[in-house]
Amino acid sequence: MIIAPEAVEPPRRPAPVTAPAAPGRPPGLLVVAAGVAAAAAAIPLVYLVVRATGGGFEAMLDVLARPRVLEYAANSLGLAAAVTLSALVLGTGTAVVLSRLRVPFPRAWLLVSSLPLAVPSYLAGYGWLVTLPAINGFVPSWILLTAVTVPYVTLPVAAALRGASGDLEGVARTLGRGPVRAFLVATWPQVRPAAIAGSLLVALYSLSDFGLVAMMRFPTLTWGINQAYAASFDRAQAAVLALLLVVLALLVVVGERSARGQLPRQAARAVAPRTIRRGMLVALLPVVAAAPAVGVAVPLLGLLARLLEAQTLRELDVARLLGAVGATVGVAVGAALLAVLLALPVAALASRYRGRLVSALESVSYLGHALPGIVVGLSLVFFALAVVPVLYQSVVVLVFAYAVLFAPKAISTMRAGLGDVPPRLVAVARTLGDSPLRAWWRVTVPLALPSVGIGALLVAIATMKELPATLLLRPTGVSTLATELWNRTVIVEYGAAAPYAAMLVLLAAVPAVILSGVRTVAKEEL
Amino acid sequence: MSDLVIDGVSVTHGSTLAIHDVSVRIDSGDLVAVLGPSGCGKTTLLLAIAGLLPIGAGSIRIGERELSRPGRTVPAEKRGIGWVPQEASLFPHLSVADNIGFAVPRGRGGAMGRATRIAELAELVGLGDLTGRAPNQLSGGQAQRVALARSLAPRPELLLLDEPFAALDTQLRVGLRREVAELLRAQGTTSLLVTHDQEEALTLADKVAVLRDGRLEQFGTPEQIYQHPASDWVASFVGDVVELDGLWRGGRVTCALGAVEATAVGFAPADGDRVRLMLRPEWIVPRPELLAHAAAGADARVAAISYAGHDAMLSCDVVGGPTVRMRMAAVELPHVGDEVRLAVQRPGLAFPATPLQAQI
Repeated sequence: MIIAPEAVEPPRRPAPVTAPAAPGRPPGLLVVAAGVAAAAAAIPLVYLVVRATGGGFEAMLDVLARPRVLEYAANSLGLAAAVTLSALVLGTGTAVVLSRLRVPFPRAWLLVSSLPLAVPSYLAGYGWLVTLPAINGFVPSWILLTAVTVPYVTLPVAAALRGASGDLEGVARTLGRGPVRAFLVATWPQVRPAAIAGSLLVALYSLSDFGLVAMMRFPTLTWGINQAYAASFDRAQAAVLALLLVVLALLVVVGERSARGQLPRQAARAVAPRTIRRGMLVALLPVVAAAPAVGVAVPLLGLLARLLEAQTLRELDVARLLGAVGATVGVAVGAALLAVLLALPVAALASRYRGRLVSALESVSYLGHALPGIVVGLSLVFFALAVVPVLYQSVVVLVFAYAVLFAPKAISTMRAGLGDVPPRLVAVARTLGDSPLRAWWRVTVPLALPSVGIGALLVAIATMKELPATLLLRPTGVSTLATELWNRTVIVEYGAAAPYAAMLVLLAAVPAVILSGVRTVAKEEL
Repeated sequence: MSDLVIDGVSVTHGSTLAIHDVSVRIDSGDLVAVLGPSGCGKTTLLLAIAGLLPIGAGSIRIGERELSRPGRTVPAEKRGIGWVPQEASLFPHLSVADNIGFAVPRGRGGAMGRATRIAELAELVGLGDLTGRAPNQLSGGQAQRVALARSLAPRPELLLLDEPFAALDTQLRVGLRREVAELLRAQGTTSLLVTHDQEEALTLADKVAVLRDGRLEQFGTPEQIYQHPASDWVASFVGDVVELDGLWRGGRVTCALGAVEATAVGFAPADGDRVRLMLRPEWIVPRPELLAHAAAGADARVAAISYAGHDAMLSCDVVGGPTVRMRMAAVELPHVGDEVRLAVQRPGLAFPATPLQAQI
């Protein structure tokens, strides 16, 4: 998932008076390469539209009017709304406590509050089912989704609070407002865009989520799509449901885009955290700890308990586990390489050039960000069957699906990294005799390399955690850790699933946490 | 080495005209300062000369070689023009040696040849033992030295310096800029130095180009610019002025300081016309014995003294007239309240009574 790329970039300098601007027209080859990347990103959506409307408009309406479909849609929207609201309240509260009050070990608390991002929703679901096998339906889905998505609000709001000028709040206090009203009148407007953008990401996550709701047997659109697809006689219905989900997701993304632009960054003096009474602190810290406890601690403890049971260890099929690890790492590396390859021209273009064509190409390349994994999986099944049957059920299509889904992560980090290279340095290299390409190679590339690496790592981590597209597209006989965990959980073999869950945590969550310590940008990108 | 010719050059930045019809000819080997207030287009002009911005009209040439004209810009890497940007802009991923050697090809001449050249340049700018450092381990002055060495490495025909001393503290700035000017003269490199600091321009440069709102106001030696400014704006931009209203009569302006000999700048006044007389504070001296010779002077009382160490600025109330400011060496200063007799020791400058801009 992506926190608005603009929000993680440093503010762009207003006018290129002292720094030479890039020449107005981007190089043709770069545009072509970015066009290829955008076209690749557009395949799933375009093909889905073709497929869903293929049966004619009336057939579509017919599907949409079915009572089951309406129930799925209502469940999806209701769950997304409830999760968004609770995440907004809890996340904002957490951010205020962590950045405005004097908390012991503030950095550690911030890291802890970002931990749920590293845990895929279905893993949290599994961890709870291990302990409480009976939970199901709306309420557990709501609570668990809230717990794993709260950081999407907490982190940007905490960042915005750090950047918000505290002087304004002081001014409001001297003008007679109490502390709460001063916060509302002076600081909240500066934080609101970040809070809204974060909430919309939560909404998108909730709409797209498949693993958790399916484990909780709460029938949302994603679940309905999977059902309709599994009952292979009704693939047209699957396509129509997927299109409906895409429309909802795109609405959310449009909302997020219009909310994110309003974040004006100004140099400001930060507010010194306020000291409060110990009793108050003891009352507030559980609020901060709630999401990490529900989304991380309980599931991991449940997992650990089950893992250490004698029966689990006795039944462990080491070869199979290693096979799954190999497959997971293999597709993750492939996806990271392909995603970086696709993202590079788009990021290079977007970091230096403006214009309608550039922003159109960039927007299309970001499509994967809005498309739920199950939709991309479904559409690529159709696409492979109809257009390249040779590749159907091959690793190629699977890796391509990951690249489309997660290239936006690579684009936004690499775009920021490339944009951070001062154009002046490139200009200096030019005056020292380097051609534009040579200057790019000698100056821009080495300086932007860390962002490429982080982009690749983000894609690899996301790929290892991906579930629904993997379920639809994986070749027969290829199992990743996520699918092994899933297949055992749905048949209630929690013990057999434990080793796979543990490996998944080690492979995907641990690097994610390390990465979040390395760069705050990366933390918000997970 | 050949002259740099900037001929009728205009540059547009987005929709605004940043440089308007500027023509200057810079002789080979000269150090020329481009002086103007911030936002006047100095840097834009520099970028156009470097080939980093296209020009909208006119042409830029070095000798017979055309570098820029509308629609055709020889790329920066093929111009042989060096550039020292503001804030040094060293490549952060390269060591000092690799920064200096950025434009020194590897391979040809062997690694030894390159290392020798780098050491030579480091020595030239006084950085001998720092070549192994990373740019972030350098002070501001050292970084500027590296940037200078880096730009000199490919032996440019012309060197552009964009306010290279602006970020340094006063003491370092004065020392480094003198050193750099000496170095450039010794190398015989034609250089263009952009600055908004009048003192820097006047002390360092062979010639000064004064730029205002993208137009060239005046081009000449520092002395011409200071003593014979082409307009009242240049006069007050490059130094302090004392302004007095008066009447023009036969080459003199009758004002509070008597009938002061003056040159009319940019217009031809008739006898009896109202004019504005401009003097430099140091042209006014408390020397009554000059009065007979200069035929201009007045009695005054010292109202305030602003002491600056090497000299001092005195505000004097002319008897029955305005307050004038005068500068004198701070050796034997009068006291506030003292009576002084002021004389004007050289011809002043006469400008139209209303500023030219207001007439348009």
